[in-house]
Amino acid sequence: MKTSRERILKRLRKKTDYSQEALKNVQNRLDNAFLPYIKIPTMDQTDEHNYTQFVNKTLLHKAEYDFCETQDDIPPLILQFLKRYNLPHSLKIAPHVKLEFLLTCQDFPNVKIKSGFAIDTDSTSLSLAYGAIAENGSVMIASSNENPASLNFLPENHIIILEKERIFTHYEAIIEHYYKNNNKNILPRFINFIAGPSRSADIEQTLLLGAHGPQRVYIICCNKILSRN
Amino acid sequence: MLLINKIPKHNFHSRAYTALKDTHLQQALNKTKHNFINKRKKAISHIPAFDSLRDEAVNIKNHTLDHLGLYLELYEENVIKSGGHVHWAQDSQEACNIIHNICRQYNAKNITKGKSIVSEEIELNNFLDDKGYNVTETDLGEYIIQLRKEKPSHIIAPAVHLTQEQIKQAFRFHHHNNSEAPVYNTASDLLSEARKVLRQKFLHADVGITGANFLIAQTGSSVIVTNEGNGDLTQILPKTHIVIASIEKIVPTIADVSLLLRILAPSATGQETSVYTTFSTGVKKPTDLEGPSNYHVVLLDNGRSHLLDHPDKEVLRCIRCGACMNHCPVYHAIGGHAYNSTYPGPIGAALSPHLFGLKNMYQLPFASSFCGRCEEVCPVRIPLPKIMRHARQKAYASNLLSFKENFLLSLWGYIVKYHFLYRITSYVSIKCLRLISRQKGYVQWLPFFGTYFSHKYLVAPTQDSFITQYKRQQKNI
Repeated sequence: MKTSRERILKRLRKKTDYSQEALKNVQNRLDNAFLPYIKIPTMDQTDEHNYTQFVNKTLLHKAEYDFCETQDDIPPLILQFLKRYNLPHSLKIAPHVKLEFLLTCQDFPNVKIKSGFAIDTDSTSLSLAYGAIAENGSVMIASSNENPASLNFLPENHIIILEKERIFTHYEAIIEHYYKNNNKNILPRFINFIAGPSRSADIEQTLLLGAHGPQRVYIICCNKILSRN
Repeated sequence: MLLINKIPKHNFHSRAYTALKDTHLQQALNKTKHNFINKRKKAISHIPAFDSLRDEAVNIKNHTLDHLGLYLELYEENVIKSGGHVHWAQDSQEACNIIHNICRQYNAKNITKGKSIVSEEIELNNFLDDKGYNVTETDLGEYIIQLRKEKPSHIIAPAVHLTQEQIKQAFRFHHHNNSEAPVYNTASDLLSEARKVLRQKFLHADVGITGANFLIAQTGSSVIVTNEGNGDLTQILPKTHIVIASIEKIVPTIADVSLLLRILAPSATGQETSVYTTFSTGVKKPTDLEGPSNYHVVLLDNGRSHLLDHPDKEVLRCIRCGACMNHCPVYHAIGGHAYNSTYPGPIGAALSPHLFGLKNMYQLPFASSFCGRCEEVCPVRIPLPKIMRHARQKAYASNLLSFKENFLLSLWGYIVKYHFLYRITSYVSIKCLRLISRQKGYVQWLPFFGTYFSHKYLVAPTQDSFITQYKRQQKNI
């Protein structure tokens, strides 16, 4: 007896194109898998212009934003954020090699820092962005053992560290960069594009922040982070 | 329970009348009328070359549908490569059974669900409830209507038909045993309570079920687009992640999905981009600290493959943004439940007869004034009025209309075929309407048209017909 897969594919073979020409078309599509179909305005802009555009857009998405020159400036900014909203002085950070300096940092008096994936009781998490997109002001976080995806969603407050040189012009460019530089062309389990805090408009179309994900998203853009490795 | 749910399923006219008289519904719909339209207008004004994006989106969808078989096979290959499983379902029953078997395989009891319109199409919740699972919808709107035992009335805003007061009542009843004690001062109070209740559901779920806005053949990924983050918690926390998606959700590559993402959020909610856009690929990697160990994708056909060589094939280009219903004057007046289809509004009127049978859904294509706004705003330029017109013709040819409708349409069809008859009829009609209007300028009643006149007047013609005026002018020359 034929399986449903066979039956559906039989119909598709009859009703859609399986010719040599079709195979060529499909291959052509795959060969140009990261080539945008239209010219994205950010492709023609300078890096500085794209940086400004990213910042403006991310603020429009209601994320909070700060810039710092070196990684030494990051801990004070985190402390200010925790104090600003009277948040518990605890932090769950992604076990990323580039964030290890936070674990041994002397600038965090009375802040409990743990690394790992998020649990329900974590109030503030911190992860490292793979990069950001100037086109729409979102940041991309790729999941891995160094960047668990739960950190992006479970806690009420999410701090994202972004390196300035990792601001890409558009979607296709950032995914192509990941695709070609990591894991031999296999995407991670999760790629999260995040544009501001979680929200809902399901109650009479009133926009409310903090639906199921974080109520606050704080992006700290650093000129350069040096890992010890 | 809404009054509308007591009306027989396929009686669209009665459901529409009930909706028009429902004051709560009309109050809720009044808010939606302008909100969606204004937000979309503002969003696309900031996107350069939005129309070029739409043209490219049409090309992408047409190319994909023409090569759908090849892309589905490639997608399957890549899902398997990344450790997942692909299941093929010909119809709703088979899809439900597949999901039940997967849940049974992993001894699941508690299931969380992200918003999935395809799961509504196959009535998955009822099926899983009957099998004894604890199923919880996690999108706020979906959760509210699950508490009220209703169906979504909009494909992206499922609880758009409800007022805040109705939501408060549902929360009091289900979260507080109908006690008057909880005071919800603002909508935020309701959201906080839902967040707290649903957080526990996320943490204890054995299986998470999501839909997919797109499936990428190149990478074997499923893509979801949300604002709340519920879809992500649904697919990160449980050990098993099931995706239910229909076969036309396939797109070939990253470039294709990127372009479609650029038009989806502006058309749907009027945002430049949704808060969360997530690509999920396969099972968690061996070194990952978390994530599902089991990843299953159920591909649903449910009649779609039959449409691939049909004149209405263009309806399969739909990316489920809801722009057509957001701009439809009929939807604005009656809401989504009157359609009694998973897919309400213009896209529902065009798609439902193909998916659920013309006999069951023939009244929906008549729920349109053919003003053309739906086609104008559709990001993938689906000619919705044309497809609805086809369905109307088919309904007439299949004798599905009432005797009165059939008689009047046949009579009209006969008259317009003969220009002499047409001219006589229009001459007599104009004279009669003027006479009946008695200088008021409008007519309040006509035989056979009682229904029409129960909601509006007909403006009486102030001029003679074009031909009469033309002839008069010719004589004067």
